[in-house]
Amino acid sequence: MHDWKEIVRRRLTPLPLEPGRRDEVIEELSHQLEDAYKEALSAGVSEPEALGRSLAQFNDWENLRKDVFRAVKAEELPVWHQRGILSPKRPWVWATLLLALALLSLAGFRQALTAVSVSFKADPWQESFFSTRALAQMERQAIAQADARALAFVALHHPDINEAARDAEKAIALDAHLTWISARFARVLQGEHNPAPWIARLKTWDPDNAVPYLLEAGTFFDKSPLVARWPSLGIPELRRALVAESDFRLPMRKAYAAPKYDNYAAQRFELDRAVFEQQGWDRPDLLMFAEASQPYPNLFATRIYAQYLVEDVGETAEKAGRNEEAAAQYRTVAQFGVRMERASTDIERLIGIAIRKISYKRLLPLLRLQGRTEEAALLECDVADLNEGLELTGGYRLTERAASRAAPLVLISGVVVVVFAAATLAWLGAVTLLRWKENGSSLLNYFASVASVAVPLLLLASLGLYGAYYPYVRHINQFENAGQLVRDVGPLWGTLAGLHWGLLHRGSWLPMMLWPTVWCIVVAVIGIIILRWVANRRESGGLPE
Amino acid sequence: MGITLDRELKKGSAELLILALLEEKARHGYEIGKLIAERSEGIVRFHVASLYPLLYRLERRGWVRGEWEPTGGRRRRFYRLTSTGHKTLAAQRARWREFSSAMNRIVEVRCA
Repeated sequence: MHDWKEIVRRRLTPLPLEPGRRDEVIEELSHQLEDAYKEALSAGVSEPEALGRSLAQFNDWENLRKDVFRAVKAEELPVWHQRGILSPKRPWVWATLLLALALLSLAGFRQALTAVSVSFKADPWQESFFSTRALAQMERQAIAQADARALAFVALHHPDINEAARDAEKAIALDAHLTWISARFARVLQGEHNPAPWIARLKTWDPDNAVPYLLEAGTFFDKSPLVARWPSLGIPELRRALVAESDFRLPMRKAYAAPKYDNYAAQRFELDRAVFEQQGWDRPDLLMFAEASQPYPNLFATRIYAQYLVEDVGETAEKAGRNEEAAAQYRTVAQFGVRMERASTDIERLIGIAIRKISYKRLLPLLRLQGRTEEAALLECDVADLNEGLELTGGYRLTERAASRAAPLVLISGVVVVVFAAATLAWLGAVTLLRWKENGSSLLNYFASVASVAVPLLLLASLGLYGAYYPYVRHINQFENAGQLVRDVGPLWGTLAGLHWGLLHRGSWLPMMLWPTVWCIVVAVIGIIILRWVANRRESGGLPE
Repeated sequence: MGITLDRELKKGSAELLILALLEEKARHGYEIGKLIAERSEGIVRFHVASLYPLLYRLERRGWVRGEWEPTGGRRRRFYRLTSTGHKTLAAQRARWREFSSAMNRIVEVRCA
């Protein structure tokens, strides 16, 4: 004879009703099983089949347990008594949560999360990407430890130019090899900053480099009232007016004659990366934005001077029959272009190519005219190489296209991760409270029952985010130079930063509607949860089959 | 609309069926389930897993009252209508008649 009460008790436990009521329910359901069993036997069914038929009446005991509790108490079964697949009693729910948290130990996943924050930053390209607090702390430590490199880092990235200049002085005093950081202060900046002493220092320290001279000419260019008039003047007039000024012409002449072109990007990249590693920041994004804020010499002015040498000086010499003098001018420009092309940043490389093309456009016909066919043929090969170099930017566009597809995916999955992380946190808080006080709040219990779905969804969204970002996961040591950093991850981070500007700053409805929409969604979700809870309390019957 | 109607219909009709069966006399759960199947000639069958929670709900609302009574050598829980249950049954029955006659007027109109 079967112990029907025990069969029901085993399957229905725990049923957190008052003991008397619970026993009544168990007894009543055991009668149902027993009656069905006896009826099946009396119909001539075998004993095992009769037992099977009887038990099949309640094929989902977990639901029955919930329904009975809800019917008797008019509220959800306490979440810690639930045994559904998403119950906090299930070890796999906690394993899922741990797995989601374990993803945080992956540097790539942390980078992906950072990607989301970039889209919501006002302007990640600004120097202020580093917090002044962090920089101030680093400065204090660097001064205490006489750490010239850390001081140089602060000098390069501090948003306050005066503070930065003071740190630069200290860094250079500690280590003269760091004099190149003066380049940051060698441009006309806002306020009362005077770049002249910094340029003079650079010229003395690195006299063979074109960059300090370009910075000097650029300072004149930036201040010159001619520049403001150039749209009306036109480029030819502007360059003639500029070269008439010795403060522009002389440094430019020295720059074009200098044996090397070094904008200190490599030194800066190495310094930044070393400090990043020292600080434990494995943040290619931060490194990229830090490099992006590097000041260049005035490339427009540099190109204008190339045009002057080719189209004014060279052409005049050619017209006067002084072909050798013209060729020498063209070669000066071409050689400067070659030196500039060796710079590590793409923009300088492209300007270097452009300057060489300006030169070759005149030099090639001149060489043919002079019958120097072999030299002309070599130059033609050079021109073909230049075009190939320019085509490299086509590859860059491909990377950009891939990034433009990946960036929205990263952003959306990142936002979803943040939403589910918040929901999981709320669920965690609710189940902890309910563990402590089981009958604390029926609304809280209802929320904990519903929100348990956030845990697996958090893991799925996290995997989605990691998957979308995975092609861009890099350690900062994997980049050879700033150019490679910009080429590899620049398109993605640039697109992410652009999404922010595109969505929020181009006069779209989003600036006005984004937060109200988010607010409405939050209110709607809370409203739905409360309404469902109220509806559940009103109870409903069922007529299945 | 369709879903709401269906849900309301199921909910209301399940309650109505049980209240109607208990109007005649007090019955236990097993008997209620059997009677529904028998009287509807097998067309309406009540899933047992839904029957007991529904009985407990009706009891909590005060429409039925469950009492243990000895029968056949053991005790069974019998449910009988309360006075509130009688009033509710009358109201639900009237609504059901209204509803079914309205349905008939629509469904039978071509046959008339």
